[in-house]
Amino acid sequence: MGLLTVLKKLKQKEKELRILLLGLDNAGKTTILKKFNGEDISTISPTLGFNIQTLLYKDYKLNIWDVGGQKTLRSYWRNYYEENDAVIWVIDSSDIRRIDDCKEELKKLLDEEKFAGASFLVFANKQDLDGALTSEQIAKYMDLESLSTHHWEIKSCSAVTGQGLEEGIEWVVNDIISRCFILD
Amino acid sequence: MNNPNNNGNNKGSSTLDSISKEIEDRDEQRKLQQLRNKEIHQQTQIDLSNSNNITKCINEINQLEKEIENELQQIDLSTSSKDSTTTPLTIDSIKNTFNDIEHKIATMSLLLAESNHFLPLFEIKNLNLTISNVQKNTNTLKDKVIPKQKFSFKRAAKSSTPKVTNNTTIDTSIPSPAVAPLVDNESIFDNSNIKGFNGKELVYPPTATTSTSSSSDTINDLLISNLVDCKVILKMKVLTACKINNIKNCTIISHSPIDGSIFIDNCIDTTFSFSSRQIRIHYSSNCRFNIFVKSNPIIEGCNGIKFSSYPHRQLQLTDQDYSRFMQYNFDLININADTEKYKDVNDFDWLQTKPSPHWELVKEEQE
Repeated sequence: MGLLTVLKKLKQKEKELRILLLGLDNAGKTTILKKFNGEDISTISPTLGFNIQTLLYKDYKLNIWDVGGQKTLRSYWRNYYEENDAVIWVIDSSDIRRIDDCKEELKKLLDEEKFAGASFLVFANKQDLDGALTSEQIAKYMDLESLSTHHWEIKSCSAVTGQGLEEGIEWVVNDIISRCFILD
Repeated sequence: MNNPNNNGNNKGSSTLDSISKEIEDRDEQRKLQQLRNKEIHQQTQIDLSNSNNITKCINEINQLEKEIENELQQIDLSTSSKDSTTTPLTIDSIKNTFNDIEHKIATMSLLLAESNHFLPLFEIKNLNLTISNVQKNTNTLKDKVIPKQKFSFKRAAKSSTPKVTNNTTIDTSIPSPAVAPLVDNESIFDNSNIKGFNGKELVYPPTATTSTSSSSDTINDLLISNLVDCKVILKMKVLTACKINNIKNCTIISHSPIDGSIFIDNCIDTTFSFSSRQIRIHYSSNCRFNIFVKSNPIIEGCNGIKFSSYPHRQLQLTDQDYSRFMQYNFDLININADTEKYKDVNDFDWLQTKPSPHWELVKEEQE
């Protein structure tokens, strides 16, 4: 009967991945998203609220939720925590002044139960700037090494030049696949 | 259909099948349509972004690359042929050529940085590769020819190899949170930091006399903090990102467009004049912004903020600065965007439809 179509639908849905893109304001979240999607990045306004973008990567449909990082918006982040396959945390590697802020927000995020089992990628963005910390320095400062509750990875990237973006997304997709679709 | 005597179950499933097929077909068509739309969109973007500029920029960079390769080859030949008869004179001339090469490499990356926004991603990747290759070749040859000069070289190459500078600057700048406030009292005025001055007029870059000028007027990450009663004028050729915090009663003017974002935090009674891609203003009060901006400015936790347009006529820009500003402006017209974005300020603390009480538009200052 209609069971076949239902199954087909389910199967299709499995190929859809939901990814949450978070980070402090001015980290470059929207720029990463638009650059990856091949859109113009010169007229991006700071995000007031959120953007949803659907990307096709390999066979997978990535629904990426890009939520603004302003202080006034951070209390709303929790509304987006449900059912994520992966979380991408974006860091402005040159923003040394707020790195402790960043660490704190990240810690709050990692303590969240709703992310249990989600893959976790940190983008050390803005590597094109002279004052940028390397991904190793950030991993060390943020204590990522001691993180055992999630599959995690840190990738350095530059949203302006596009360098490192694909590697990051590739890791996310592969990690989700290896976790969820072993039975396939 | 072939077998009318069969029970209805089969029929039902076949209609279901056809329905699901129809749905699939429709989905497919929709996807195709989306792809086509995207293609058209991309095409128009490419058309608008002036392909002349692209080829010109690529040619220029490639030309420079060839020149550098030639010079490198010459040095290599001359040093390997008369190994035994090297005199101090030739070493001097070699040094000169190396200086020249470094200048060229700096120009190359500058060109690339300036044209970043209209070049296709693929070209940027390619050009980046070219530049880093040239840099590598120069490095290896230099190490071979004048090994003692390795250190001074690293310094001069600052603008073109950000990775190298990373290592040197970072160790001092990672804040161990307890120490940071103490350091704040110190006055610093260097390549990427203007900090802790009181009642001074600061022009940046400091003076054009320093011979390593190419590295000091292409700053891509500037931090301005803890100033009181100061006037800061920024005149570097290329400035990519700028962060400003803890400023009181100052005037900050940038003569050159800032290619990235400006992040302003905790400023009081200050006047800013900028042209930039993005402006973010946080927790500031009684400030005035004379700005040209490519996207909507935002304010958060602010009060008494005034906005008006960038006073490029009154700033008495040099011809070079003016042409850069117009170029910046032109890019924007090219992509059919709004030239008066500064009027559409987004206030994160004001979600109602009536105008926010935290900011207002004012007329350009007449001086």
